[in-house]
Amino acid sequence: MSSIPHDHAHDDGHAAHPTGLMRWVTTTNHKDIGTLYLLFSLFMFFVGGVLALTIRTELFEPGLQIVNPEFFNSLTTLHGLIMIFGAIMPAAVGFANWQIPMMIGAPDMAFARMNNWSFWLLPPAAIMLIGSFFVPGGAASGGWTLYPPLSVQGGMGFDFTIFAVHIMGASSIMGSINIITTILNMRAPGMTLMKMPMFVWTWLITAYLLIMVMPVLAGAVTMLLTDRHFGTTFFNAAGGGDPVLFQHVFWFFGHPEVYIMILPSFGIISEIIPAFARKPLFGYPSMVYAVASIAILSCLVWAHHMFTVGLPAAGLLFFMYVTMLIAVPTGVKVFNWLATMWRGSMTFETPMLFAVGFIFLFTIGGFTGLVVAIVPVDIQLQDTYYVVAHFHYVLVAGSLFAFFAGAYYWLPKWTGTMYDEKLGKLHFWCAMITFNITFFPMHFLGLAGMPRRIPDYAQQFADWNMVASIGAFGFGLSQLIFVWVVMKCIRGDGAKAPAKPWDGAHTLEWTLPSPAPYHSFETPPVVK
Amino acid sequence: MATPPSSGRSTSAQQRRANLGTALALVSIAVVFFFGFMVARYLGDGETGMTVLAIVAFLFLGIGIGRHLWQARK
Repeated sequence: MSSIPHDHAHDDGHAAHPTGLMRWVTTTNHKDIGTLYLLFSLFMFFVGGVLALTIRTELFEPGLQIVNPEFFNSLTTLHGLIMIFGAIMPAAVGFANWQIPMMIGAPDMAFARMNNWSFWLLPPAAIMLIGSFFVPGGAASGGWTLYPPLSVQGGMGFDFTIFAVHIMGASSIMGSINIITTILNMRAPGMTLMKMPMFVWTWLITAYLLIMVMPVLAGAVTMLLTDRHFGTTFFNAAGGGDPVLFQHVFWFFGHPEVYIMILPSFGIISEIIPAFARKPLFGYPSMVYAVASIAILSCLVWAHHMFTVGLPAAGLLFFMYVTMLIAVPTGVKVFNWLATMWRGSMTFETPMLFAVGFIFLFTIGGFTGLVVAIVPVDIQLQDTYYVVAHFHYVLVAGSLFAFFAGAYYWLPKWTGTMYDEKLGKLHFWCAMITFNITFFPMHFLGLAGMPRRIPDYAQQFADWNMVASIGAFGFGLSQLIFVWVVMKCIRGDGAKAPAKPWDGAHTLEWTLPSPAPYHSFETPPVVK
Repeated sequence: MATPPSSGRSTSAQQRRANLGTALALVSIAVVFFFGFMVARYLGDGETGMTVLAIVAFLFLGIGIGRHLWQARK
């Protein structure tokens, strides 16, 4: 990725570009910033991964082994926050930065300087989050949802977390404004909205969701901050406030956030499957409407995370039915992907393997989501490992597998070097097998009643926990293969990539040479 | 918000104006959603807050779709 050279022949009219470290600090180029986002997210993925492996080490057998319960709570909290805000979301924005201008025929993002600022807000936020482990009282330990009263009564770590969330929220909002403006105003002549690649569509809708819900989270944590330090009682029952109110506001952000993390993945999968099935995407308009429907419905289902707080029966029924309704547009997407593959001339290179793995595992995650959408079932399974299994099937096998698929798909375009296919396939199979060893047993643990966020557990849960922990270490180690593959591509250790390495790919970025030139599409292409 | 792209890429100044207009509209959404709930909370209860947010969401959606249809008719 960093192998993209500055093409000084195309620098006419641009200010002289710094080199070395300052190139990356001051860059306004969408490809450089995309690279920064992706590398940052990879780093944070490993930081969050280390926290996860510490959790799994503690849970390897019953009893307290290596951490105390308070620290365990901090681990689960920071693992969630880091993976969501530090790994998955920045990775999605990295893909957007690299791909959207190239896919719509634009020279760069609409607000190039703001793009730089959006990225460089993230490292300080990450330092605050990770650094909160070392402040008096330790890191935040109330879960990534930051529910009061724990978050109001906790130590300084919560303040660090609140400021980090503010900063990352501001970064996301600026990034979204940039993405929407770029897509709406800078498409190549002839590229109408309904001719846009699906990845661009999914990001357009994701960006709207972000702009709508990120300020709500920012508002919620601001209220939390004023409750902690300025004498307000928004969420303090003793002062007339309502702790459940925070849950409403948080999940008004939190549930769309799930779709913010999965919709760009849908877009990546929708690019890859037609390319490797060598057929156009089946039902393109219905895919667009399905994404829009998912986005709208995602704003109407927040209270399904709160079935046990004592909502009125009408509310329970409303949120249960609307949650189940989301299965309809999601089903449309899954069936359209399958129909695209049907009778296609399919080959199974690494991106396609991850895409098929995504469909298989995401569908399992979707089905378990339907299970916990049913109120009486959810009341039994709330806060058990069944829920942990469910959302990891959606976010790891969903978002993360799609990002791996996208990375393998576009690495030749980004670096100009073909990735090592053998290593790629090894990465896929190791990840696929170890992922299921880790998370499938959690369904059994949850159904048997094991609560989440506990460092110790009853003897009856020992066997499956041991299996899950072994799988987790395998899954963590298998990600090193991916790092190796990426390093080889960046160093140019591999076959030179042609402009279009995938014969079934038809979007605009494949009309550019590999690696993509530093300034792409200075003359807009015409789309027919 | 959208500049019709079919007529070719606009001049740089036009492009910047269009970009700025789009960005300001989007910023206004973010601002309303940031302060909306807190203001609503001061004025009433939680239900009022959620109602205000829902109305604002649909208002922006209505304005967006209406504007798109209006431009398409022109």
